[in-house]
Amino acid sequence: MLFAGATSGAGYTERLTESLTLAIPDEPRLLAVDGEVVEGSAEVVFRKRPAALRVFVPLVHG
Amino acid sequence: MQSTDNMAPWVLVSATLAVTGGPRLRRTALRAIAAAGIANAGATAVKYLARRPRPDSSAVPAARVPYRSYVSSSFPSGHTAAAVGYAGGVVSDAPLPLSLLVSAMAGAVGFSRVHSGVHYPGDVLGGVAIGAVSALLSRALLPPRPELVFGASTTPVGEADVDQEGAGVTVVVNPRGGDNGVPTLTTADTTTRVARQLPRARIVPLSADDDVASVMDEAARDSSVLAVAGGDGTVNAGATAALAHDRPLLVLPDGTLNNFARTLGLTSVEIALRAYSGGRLARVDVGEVDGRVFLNTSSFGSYPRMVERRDRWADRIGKWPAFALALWRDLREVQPTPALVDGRPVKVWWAFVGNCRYRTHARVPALREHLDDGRLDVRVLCARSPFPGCVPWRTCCSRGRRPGPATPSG
Repeated sequence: MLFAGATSGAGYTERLTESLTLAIPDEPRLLAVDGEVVEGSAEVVFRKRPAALRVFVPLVHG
Repeated sequence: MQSTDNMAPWVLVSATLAVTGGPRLRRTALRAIAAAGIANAGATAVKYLARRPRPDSSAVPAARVPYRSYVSSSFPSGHTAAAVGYAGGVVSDAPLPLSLLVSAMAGAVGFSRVHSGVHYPGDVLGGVAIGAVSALLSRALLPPRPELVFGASTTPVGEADVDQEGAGVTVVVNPRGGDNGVPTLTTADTTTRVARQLPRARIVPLSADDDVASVMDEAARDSSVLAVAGGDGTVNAGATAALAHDRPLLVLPDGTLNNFARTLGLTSVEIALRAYSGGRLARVDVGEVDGRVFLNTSSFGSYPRMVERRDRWADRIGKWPAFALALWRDLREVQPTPALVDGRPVKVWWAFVGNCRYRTHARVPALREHLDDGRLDVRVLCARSPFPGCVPWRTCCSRGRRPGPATPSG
């Protein structure tokens, strides 16, 4: 589901979404996850876990 | 002020900033030295056109006359141009004391060029103009990095009843959080500060042989609060364990970029320790890919290939040289990867997925203002054009939007 209009042009797209499915037929299926390189599966699903993690934040905080 | 010959003090100041400063000051250093170089080149070009003779300095006391003579055109003052350019590059975003110091040095250079009889005042004014234009140009090329003042917005969940001495807290410290996997000088300092402020906390230093995920899992299981000191990779492992055991996470920024910590407003270990003492908890979104958690970004295509090469070479030649070499190899050899994006067949140069919306700055996803917007920021560059290298620039120019490349800055 898109939350905002996608930006696109000449092969480049931007969008805000809750999930993305990426099927990669050929190996190696390298993914960078927070800077660490890992091997992905043939069908990679990116998804959100909203408000999942509790963290300590500064007292003066946005 | 002959010490400013060959831009020596500016190179020295930039080198000092680059070595001792964080990412923001390194950018400042690069911008400032670029401005000085542009100003120097510009002044040299104008000198060839102007060919103004030097002033008669016979009446200037010998003590004020430079030890070397200058034979180039008097107009404009190249020293002043470089000094003003450098100062203009610094004041864009440097702390006020540094800006004042460099500005005072630039003013002294301009004054000394007239005082020592090697330039007319008009030459110095010409140098100021060239320096100012160079500073504006360098600022356009390397704009100041935007910073969040108080951190991104999160979803408050109230205050935790924390033990002020750290009972129940396990702090996992990754001494490999710095470059090259070599323990950083700050690691011992971080451990000392944590031990001083949280004397009852259990501190677990990671060793090279440790399975980071297992250590984090055990630490989260056996404590009421999991704290992690390290870079974004370490924080990611900590977040995975904290999620698995429903523990709050305390992030102690002790890595190279500390993207997640900075986004939370935790810009130093001291601020993070104060955040723990204050006990204020908030909830933030996480992304997930193939069952793995990500707090900042995940990407596919040319960027992971470049990172894989960088990590392979970093032990031998250092992280940043390895990065430059890997980037160069990638630019020469990169090919788009066939894939299906949401069922649509495309050839992907790179796909970037950010946890929450990134604000684009200088053509890269730069920072997040929210960590609770429920969205993934998806940016994909596909090989539709016969000249794919031109695509980002064409898109940028035609739509007034700036596409993000595969190397997010934070």
